Amino acid sequence: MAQNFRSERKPKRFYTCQRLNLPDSDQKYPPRVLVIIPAYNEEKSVVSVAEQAKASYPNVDVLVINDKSTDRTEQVLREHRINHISLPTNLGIGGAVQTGFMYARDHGYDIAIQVDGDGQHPPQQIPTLIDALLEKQDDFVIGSRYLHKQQIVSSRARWIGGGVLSGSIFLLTRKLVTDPTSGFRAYSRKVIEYTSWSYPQEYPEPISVIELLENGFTMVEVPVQMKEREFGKSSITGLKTMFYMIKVIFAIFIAKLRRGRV
Amino acid sequence: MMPETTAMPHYGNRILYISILVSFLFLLLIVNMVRKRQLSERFALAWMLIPVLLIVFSSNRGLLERLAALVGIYYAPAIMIPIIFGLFILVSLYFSVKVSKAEQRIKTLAQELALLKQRLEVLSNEQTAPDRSQ
Repeated sequence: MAQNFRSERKPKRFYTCQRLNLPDSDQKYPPRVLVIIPAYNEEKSVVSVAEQAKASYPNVDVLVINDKSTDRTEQVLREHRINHISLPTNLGIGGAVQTGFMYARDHGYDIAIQVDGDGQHPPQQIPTLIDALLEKQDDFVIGSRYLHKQQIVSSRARWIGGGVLSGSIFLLTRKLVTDPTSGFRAYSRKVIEYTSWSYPQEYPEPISVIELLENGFTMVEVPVQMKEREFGKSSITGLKTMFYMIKVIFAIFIAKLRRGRV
Repeated sequence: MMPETTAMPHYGNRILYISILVSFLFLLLIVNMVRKRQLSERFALAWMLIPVLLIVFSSNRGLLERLAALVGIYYAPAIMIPIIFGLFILVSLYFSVKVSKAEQRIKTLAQELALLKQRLEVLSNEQTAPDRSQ
């Protein structure tokens, strides 16, 4: 009886998996997973992130997008024979991640995971995202550091900024996103096809959340624990935070206005 | 009262003649740049909007005066200032649109190029691999 219920709500999803113990008809194939790692000058951390990501889950492929790094990222990736794409010009995080989506689309992946190359997203938690995507019936999963109990939030500014963003997203979509700036995410095939076509170029994380929600995709958040960055520091600091907030909130409103018209 | 106004030299339409002259020079400059392929025709047309409209307004004092009266400007040729300002804003906005579009296209090209390069590399590795084993 329980199984009947499951198979009834199953058909519209195609990323079914044997681990879900679904009836035979639903056991199509284990999902093909691509881990997309955008990297800009991450020579120290990118290899360990890529290798841990590779080992985190059976049959995942890793793709590092080297966004025209000026350090030895390219050589390091070559030496360790890590599957990577080198952009001919620096496109910024949005353009880099979108290249990963295009790759996932072209190579028929069912799930794309986004993990930052600087080591702040522990690749060991990739299974958490994949499981959430497979078990819950949502189109994309965000790893939220605020849902995690043992997570220390680095600064007050970040906390307030996150709150303002969550608030504006809630006002516009009536959906609570506790960590809209998190770049630790899992996307289903349906979303990959959309984001490979349209993905924001600057500050893509919060903007893509609202764009996807406005376009009818559903989201779920799972708690993840994030590390302080191993090397380098956040690109958003001090006075820039204010401009960041203004830009993002503006872009969020635009995304809201844009629904269905592009 | 009279002496003050008569003391002012009578410039008449001099500013309008200068405006027409400068506009023509500007037009010539644009046409020459297009001729030398420094500027594409499409952008040239946008830039020519400014001198052409300036000539229209400068050579038609009546139109200028009616327009000035409409918005409450006492000295008619002064209305050229907001007109020029508005035209410049329009033209720059047009160029911003063009730049945004070009940016978008460059991004897509860079992405497609990177994807192709990666695919090519994978293919050529597959081809050279058996050779190495021999």
